Amino acid sequence: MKKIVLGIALGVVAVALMVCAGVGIAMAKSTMKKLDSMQDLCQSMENGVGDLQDKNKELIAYVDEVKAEAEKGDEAEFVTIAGQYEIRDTSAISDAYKSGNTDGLTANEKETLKLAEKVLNEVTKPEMSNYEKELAIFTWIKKNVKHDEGALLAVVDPNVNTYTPYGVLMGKQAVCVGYATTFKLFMNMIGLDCMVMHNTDLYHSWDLVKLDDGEWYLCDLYMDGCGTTPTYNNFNCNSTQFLSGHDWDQDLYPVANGIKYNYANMNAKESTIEQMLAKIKAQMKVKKTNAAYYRLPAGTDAKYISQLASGIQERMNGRIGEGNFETNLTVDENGRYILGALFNYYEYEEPSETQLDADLEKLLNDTFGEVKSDYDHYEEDYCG
Amino acid sequence: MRLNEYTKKALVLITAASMCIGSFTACGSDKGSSDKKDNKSSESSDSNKSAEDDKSYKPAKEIVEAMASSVNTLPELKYVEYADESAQDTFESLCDIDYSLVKDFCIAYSIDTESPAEEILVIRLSSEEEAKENVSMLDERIDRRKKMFMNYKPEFIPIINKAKTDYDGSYLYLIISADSEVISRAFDNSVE
Repeated sequence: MKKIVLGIALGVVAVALMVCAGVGIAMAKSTMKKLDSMQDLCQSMENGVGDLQDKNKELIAYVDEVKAEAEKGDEAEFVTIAGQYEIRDTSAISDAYKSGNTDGLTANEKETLKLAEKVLNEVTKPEMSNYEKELAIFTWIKKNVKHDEGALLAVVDPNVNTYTPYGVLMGKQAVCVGYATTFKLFMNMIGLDCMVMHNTDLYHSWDLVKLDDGEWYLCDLYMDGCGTTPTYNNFNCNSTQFLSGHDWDQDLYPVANGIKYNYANMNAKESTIEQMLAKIKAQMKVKKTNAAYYRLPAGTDAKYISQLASGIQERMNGRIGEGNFETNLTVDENGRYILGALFNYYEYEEPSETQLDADLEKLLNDTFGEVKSDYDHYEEDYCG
Repeated sequence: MRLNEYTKKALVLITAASMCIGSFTACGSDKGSSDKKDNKSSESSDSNKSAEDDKSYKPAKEIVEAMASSVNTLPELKYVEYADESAQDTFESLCDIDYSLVKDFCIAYSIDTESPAEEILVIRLSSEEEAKENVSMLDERIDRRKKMFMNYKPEFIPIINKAKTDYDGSYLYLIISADSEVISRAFDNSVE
């Protein structure tokens, strides 16, 4: 009996052991499976992390690119000119104009918007093209805002603001930064991209505006014409035209290569060389600031044109003084040269004559001839 | 734990010694504050001495006036001097000399927009050494004025090219005028 019980007990134990072994094996298998799946999971996590790292690198590269563009933009636009005129961002004002929501604007910005809106309503109509609006705004600013001559004094009045749109639209005086930022504000308000550019030594600024043809054009309100008389010789120019009188870091800004809305191209008159020279003589007789553009015959040699422009310039410098005449050259869409001739007569002064004793004057005149200005001499000999 | 008599006595002695050391420290502090009072009185005598020193110098405005009147080619001038309310702001807009070094200054500048370049600036610093060290800041001002006029009114560059800077003792000057040489001699005579 005892043996039977023992045997049964042993059997039960054996079964139990087998069951345990089976369970153990099953558990081991299950654990192995779990380990495998955990391994798979780890692998996929590793892969995922790898993907994330790659994505992270892409994101870092993108952020660096955006940051570099922003810094370039800051370096390109938002600088201080002449050590005192800070170029400020006006996009909040133009955005508010376009959206109709002025909640985020400061009191000063709201006032600026009011002043700018008044001008836009006065000089532009909805049916105008963007070019027509641009020209109307340029003309209004030029005619209504004069140079801040006090800006060149050794001590500048700190209470006079001529470098922000608010100061310019209130006081109707501007330094270059005032003209450029005000023009930019208006361009942004009518939906055009516009940047304020500056020269390499940070002493002058002007505008670069993108028109409907997708091309950039250069405008310098401060330097255009004379005082409050526009001649548009600094309106919608290309880089070649501007490089004769401006310098800038060309890596910072898009190239201005536009032809369609280039002012010289839009306003040039067909002319032979001889006809152009006769007309420039006639311009000189006008004796007030004026500009004209001459489209020369196809095939005119580049070297010949360049020498022609230089020759005219030298003779005008001698006749009416340096700084009172300038030329610029550009090319139309067909490769024909356009020569622009600008007269700034306001700076010309008749030379004063020494008051002499009558006998002495007679002696000098008998010896050397009467005193004549170069201008008079030129008129008699060349203008008829 | 109950302290034995020996331990109690030791603690009392230690406490008493600590209090004595503390009282000596307080005396040291009192002595320090009296030193400060002494310093204040010596500072006061220093500023009195410096005010007396200042009186021995000719005011910068007098020198500038003498320089301006030495020629009759200058346009209408405006004067800003050290005592004016806006003096520091004006000075700091002119040059990068540390204003805390300035003992006196005066500028006479053209207010004629048809002839905007002319100016006469005289500055007095503490010593000849400081004047010598800082005169290059005035040369930098001339460079800035030149760049300004080259961009906007290049016809005035010949005047800027005749600009002069120099120092004599603790005074330094800048002159922008077609007659800078004559005006500089007036400075020399004035500070002799």
